[in-house]
Amino acid sequence: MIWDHLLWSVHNLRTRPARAGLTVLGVVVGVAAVVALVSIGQGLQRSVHEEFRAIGYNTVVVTPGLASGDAGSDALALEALVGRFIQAQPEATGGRAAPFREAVRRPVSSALDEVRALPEVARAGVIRTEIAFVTSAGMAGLGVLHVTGVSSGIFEDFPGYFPGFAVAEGRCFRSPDELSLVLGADVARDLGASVGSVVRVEDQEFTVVGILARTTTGGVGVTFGNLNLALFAPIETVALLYGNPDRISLGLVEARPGEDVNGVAAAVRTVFARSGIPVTAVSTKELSARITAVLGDLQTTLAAIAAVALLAGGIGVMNTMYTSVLERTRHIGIMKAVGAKDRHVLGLFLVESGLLGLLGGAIGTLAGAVMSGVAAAGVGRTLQGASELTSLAGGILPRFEPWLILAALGGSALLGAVAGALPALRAARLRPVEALRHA
Amino acid sequence: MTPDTLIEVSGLARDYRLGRSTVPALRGVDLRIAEGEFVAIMGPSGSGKSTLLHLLGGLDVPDGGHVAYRGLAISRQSRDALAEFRSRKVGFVFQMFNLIPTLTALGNVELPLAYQGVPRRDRHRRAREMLDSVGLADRGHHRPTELSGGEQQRVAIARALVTGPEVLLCDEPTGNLDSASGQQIMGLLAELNRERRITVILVTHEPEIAAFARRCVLMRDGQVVSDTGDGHGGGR
Repeated sequence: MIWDHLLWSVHNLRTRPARAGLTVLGVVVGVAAVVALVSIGQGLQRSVHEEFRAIGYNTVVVTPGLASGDAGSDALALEALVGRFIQAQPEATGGRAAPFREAVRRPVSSALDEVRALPEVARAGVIRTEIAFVTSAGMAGLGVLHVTGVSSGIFEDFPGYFPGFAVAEGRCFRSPDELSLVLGADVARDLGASVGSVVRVEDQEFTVVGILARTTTGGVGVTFGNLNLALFAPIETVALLYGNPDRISLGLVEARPGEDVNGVAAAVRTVFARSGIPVTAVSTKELSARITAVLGDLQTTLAAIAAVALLAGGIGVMNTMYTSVLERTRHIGIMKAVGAKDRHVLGLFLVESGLLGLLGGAIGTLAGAVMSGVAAAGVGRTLQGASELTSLAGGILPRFEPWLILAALGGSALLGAVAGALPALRAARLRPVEALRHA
Repeated sequence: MTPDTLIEVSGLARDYRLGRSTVPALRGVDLRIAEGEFVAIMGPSGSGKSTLLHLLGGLDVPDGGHVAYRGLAISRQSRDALAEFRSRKVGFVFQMFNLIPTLTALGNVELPLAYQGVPRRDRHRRAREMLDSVGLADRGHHRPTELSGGEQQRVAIARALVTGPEVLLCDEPTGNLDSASGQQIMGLLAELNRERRITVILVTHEPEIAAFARRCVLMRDGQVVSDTGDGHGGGR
């Protein structure tokens, strides 16, 4: 019988193609919006996960901020962290932001040495990002760039944080306080610099010792960002240049295999706190979970808003089905006269409205896929060349999990059937004689 | 040998509500119809003859009295049981043919079988045979609008017969046909009654159509005013 209902439904829909088409379009809009938003959200979450996994899940991420430990400061610290990762914005120069001034401050480098000495720690590194005024002989005028101070060995120790890092010409740093720079490909081109050139950062002359290979790997902002726009210097040189040797933008600490990462995080916090440097230290796993949770909430909210469009589509189906029942009242009478039971009539109209929903769902899923692709590409173009954010573009690849497609198709068929339920019930309950008398 | 009573109606009443007033369409009808009869129900329009036919076929439910089919009170049945009754025991033929315009002749004839759950292939074969028996073997794939009135009514008769009903209820079956087609349809109904022993109950206001029947029930103002038979297979 369901097969008969299906055949008759297709038949009935084809007799009113314009009405069926417009009704389906109503569902398409809603489904496309939901599918596009969810697939972009899924892609974003996936990228966050993968970037953190590349850094390593046995790693602790250290960021400047309130000394962590109590719940309130933790929430603030998380905000700072999320802000750091989503926006990839460096702290303002000068290091005056830190609120803790009571403790005797010691340089980051000594804290780092202490962390490295912890038995449960395999390796550790820190970076410090400042805004720099840069000039060079090969370029007219002045460049405003981010200069990133790195602790020694960080590129080798944490390759996952610098995806695509490779020295194309020259070498990397040899000592923690040399006046040397390693330039990203775009920076080298814009400064007109090559290995051996002199580049002036603020008032200090530096020698370019290495130039990085051009990278095409992008991220969603969890990892370093766009290496092509990077200007690296040893961290102690940056501390000499800008002062405030207790400043840190980011630290990475890898636990030894088998060690409890959360325990390492606590130990790291203690070490930095003893040095008068308030930091937040959270494992990548935890951080990844928190960020994806925030993204998940955001996505749910957006999808719920998009679902309103879906609701409108459902109302369209209901309207069409009411019209259809009214129009075919006489046919319903005939069906009942020749032996159709209430459930036969109910089934026919439910299948018909379900089919409208399913059609809308199928086309909507395709449209949503196209929409999210276009949106991701559009975001990419908009952000191109916009500082470190450039890396955002490459990271968002909309993701279509099988469950998303199944849910879109199943959900829209269900939506159609639910929207058609009241009209179908009305049709099923019609009294045969009255239905037959209908013009 | 007296044939068995097929349908027995007693004290049958049906009211229609028109706005706030109630118009009685049937006021206490008693009638007995035996198996194999060919009965014409006559009367002016508004006399309640169509209402009676609908009640006999379980298309409508009475406000008073009851309809018994082979001793079973169908007027007290559930909606599903009534649908089952219409599906198994009764075939309807209407003045307006009442074919579904989007289905072919074959599709229309198959419809009652679909509701009985007959497998698709059997349905096809039986519908084809039935169209063949009303002389429309080559019209199966035409839609109702592509058929003449007489052809449409023959499709409707084929649809009514395809389930093998015991009784055929015809509401002015020739009312929309020219007299030649009308004669043809009546000949077909008479033949079905004669050869297959199908009970035919026919509503008409044309005496020449009623003449095909062997018994004539005359109605006026919702009551039977004369009856040429007694429900025992007698009549003229």
